[in-house]
Amino acid sequence: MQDPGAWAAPLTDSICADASLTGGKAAGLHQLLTAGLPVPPGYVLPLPVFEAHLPAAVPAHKPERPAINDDLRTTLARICQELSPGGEAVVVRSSAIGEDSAQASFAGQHATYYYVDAESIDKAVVDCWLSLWSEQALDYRAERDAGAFGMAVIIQRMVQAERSGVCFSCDPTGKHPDQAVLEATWGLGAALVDGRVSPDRFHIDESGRITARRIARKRLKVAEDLRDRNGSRLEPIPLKQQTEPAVSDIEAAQLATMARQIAADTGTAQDVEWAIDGDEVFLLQSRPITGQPPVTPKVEGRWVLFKPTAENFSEPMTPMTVDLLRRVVPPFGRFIGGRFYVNVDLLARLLPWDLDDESLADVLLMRPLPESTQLSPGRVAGLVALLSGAYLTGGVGWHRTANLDLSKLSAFESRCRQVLDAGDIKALPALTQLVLNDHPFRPAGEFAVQANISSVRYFILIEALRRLLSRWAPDFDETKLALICSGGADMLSQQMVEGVRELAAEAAADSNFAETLKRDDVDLQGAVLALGEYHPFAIALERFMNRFGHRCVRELELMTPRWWENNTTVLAMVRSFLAREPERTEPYGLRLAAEDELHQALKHRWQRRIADYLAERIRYYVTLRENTRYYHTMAMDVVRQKLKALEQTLLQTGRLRCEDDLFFLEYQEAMALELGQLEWQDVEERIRERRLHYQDRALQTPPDTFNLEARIPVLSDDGRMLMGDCASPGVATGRARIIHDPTLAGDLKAGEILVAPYTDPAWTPLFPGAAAIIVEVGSFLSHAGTVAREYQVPCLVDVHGATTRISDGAELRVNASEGWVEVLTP
Amino acid sequence: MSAAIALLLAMPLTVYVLAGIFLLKDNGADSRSFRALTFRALLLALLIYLTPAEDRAWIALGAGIVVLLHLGAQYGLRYLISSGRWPAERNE
Repeated sequence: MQDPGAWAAPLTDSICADASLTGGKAAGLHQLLTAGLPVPPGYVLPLPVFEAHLPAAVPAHKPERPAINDDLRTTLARICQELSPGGEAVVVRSSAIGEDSAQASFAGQHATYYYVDAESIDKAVVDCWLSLWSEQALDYRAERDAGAFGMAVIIQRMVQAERSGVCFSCDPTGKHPDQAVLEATWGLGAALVDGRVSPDRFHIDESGRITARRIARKRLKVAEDLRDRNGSRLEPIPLKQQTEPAVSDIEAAQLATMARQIAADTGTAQDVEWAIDGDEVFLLQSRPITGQPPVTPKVEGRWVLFKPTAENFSEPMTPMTVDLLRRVVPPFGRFIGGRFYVNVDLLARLLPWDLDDESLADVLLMRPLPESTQLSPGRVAGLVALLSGAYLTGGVGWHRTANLDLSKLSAFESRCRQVLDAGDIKALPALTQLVLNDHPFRPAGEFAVQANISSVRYFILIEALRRLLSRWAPDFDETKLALICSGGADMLSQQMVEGVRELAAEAAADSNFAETLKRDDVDLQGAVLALGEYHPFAIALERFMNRFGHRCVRELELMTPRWWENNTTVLAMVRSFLAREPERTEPYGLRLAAEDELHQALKHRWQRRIADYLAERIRYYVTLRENTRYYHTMAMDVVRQKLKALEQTLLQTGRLRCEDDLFFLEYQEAMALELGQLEWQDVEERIRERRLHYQDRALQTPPDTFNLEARIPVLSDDGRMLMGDCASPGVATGRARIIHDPTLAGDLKAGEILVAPYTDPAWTPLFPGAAAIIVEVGSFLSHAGTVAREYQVPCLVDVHGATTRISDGAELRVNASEGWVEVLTP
Repeated sequence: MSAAIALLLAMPLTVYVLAGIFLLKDNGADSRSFRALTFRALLLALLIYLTPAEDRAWIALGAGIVVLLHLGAQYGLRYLISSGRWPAERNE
């Protein structure tokens, strides 16, 4: 800087356009101001000021704390007076040279100080400079070769943010490049950046329409008075406000338009930080969307995503869940990046074929093999020997679950209650006792997980029946075969749908309440509380919760609140039913008719007897699989409650400060906290880092394989034909309705084709009434297929990139029997 | 040869008998599985009865192997987990 007296320049000054002098953040803010966008007023202390105080700064040597020049001190006092004449406060922000570039965002790596007053501004500026040498910033710099080393500092008026967040001008995951993504939370956005709060997330298309909206439960926000050093940095949000959207649809659309405008002006996709004070919108920062951190962690060996459970891993597992589950999963798999993968090298030895890598990946991803694949006699013999050994070891359990009275499974519920009530049983022993068969003499009904695994044999039986019928009755309709093999009224997931239907009927009986539920802006929980506990709907809801309250979206994740803790999802399902009123199907009568037709198609009585036997077995095992899932998710509820009890203790003793932080620790760390071997200071930083990693991973699509090339199943190069696995056979034509969030499915009309990234029980109420279902992940064994077969809805799973390659409203022809979907009119 | 046959017959028979015993506890004696297992066990017992008497010792060996395998798997797993020996690998 030529004039040593000019220590600071306003953000509107043209010097701020030079990122090599004022850093990327200041340059970005200058550009926003030039474009006429709302930015809080401020000043920047450019690079020469840093250099004057810290000459010859290099990353390898952290300097001593410099004394502030007197002129600069005067300047800072003047700025403070100008920006906060009433003594409110200013914010002091780092703007490192090279920061916010397309190569490296440095998000959260350098210091920012909120609520800084005239007395502490000198210290905040020096702290900002010295944050260049923080361990995390140096690591980040080393990993990315971030170039020049220096720091400008921005001082701005403190915005009293009631709501804040970030807006990406296009989806940073690359899945929906035509959509902006907005994240919003209550209060100041630092909580969001620290990963402590799961924000609301909106997807906005170019016309400003909200295509997906996920309203998160926002339990915490940044404390309004951060100057209180003894106070907690985060404070709880009132219950009613927790599940309210932090922004309206109109505000979301406005912010998306601003982000798109900046992206158009700068020529690169932008990540815009924003805040709303009253009705006034401020843009706090804009930077190019950086390349996501490498998706692929360095892993030894070859691994494939385990498809049957992929629907449970739509988002990564938290460290606590991973640490507990890894102790009970079979040894052929492990968690990588919070998702469950199976060991290719181990399983390849068990397969009866000699396969190249791509075919091997196909088998393990449960995709069909080319018909030319030949069995290898040596491998078959080895497999038979292995299965014989397995039978001798575990055959007793196999027989015990072959005709298990389904009502006996309720013993598992009693066992869960016993474990829950036993105060001396902690989370890990609770999990191992409930999930693993720790005593062979207990009744089989107490081991829902073993029964669940044992029921997978229906997959073999269905294949056997299909092959037999292809010889005996080649013209028999496969959709009717699916009907014959469907589980029926005993299936608890079907009873859950009927439960939601009954709730919808109760809600419809009170027209005022029904209209209230249908409104988008309503507080669902508040509307139910307002009914009073003796209202028929409230009574029916309590009955439903007593039965299904332990379920939730992402059931294996211990951090997820169960429906009995937060009934918003259930109420949203009721709302969806009210809006669509799907017809009730009568599968039993249809099944009898299909059985008659099958009998007529088979010539001999012995053929009919074999087909009937196999169909009866398949129905039983399908029901057993779904019902055992209902029960074993109770185990996860018990473990969660144990962990929440531990969390309460740790919060009370001050060893934890924020709700849900516990799930970002490993189990032994949590035990050490309980015993006083660790304190809050020991774990604070690792919790923060893990939360940030978790949020990064949640934005990424998990790779199907590690160290193994997998085919992407596509039928045509122009993208009009997509391939998938048949989970429920049938053919349908209709308009695509892409839904990312089951609670926002009110606009799914009867006859439309549901296209979803994954499905789990919360999606089930959408199935009746849909013309067909297309899911990006999953396999024949996954929940989507099982329930779709119950409702005779064609279902195609594992359709790679379905939600991105199919446009909302496109006319589709789905042939789930043959495993393809054709885009007729995009 | 007959010794090997006796061994092969004895092993599934033991699985049936064990499963039958457990089923009595699980479902009661009237379950379909129990009847099916009883039928199959009787069939195997008949075949074993037809094997030469000098090979009967192999039957006891087969039964012993299965009991050991089954209980060993159950209790072995329990021991490995409770002692913290399995799973040893860090997953993240």
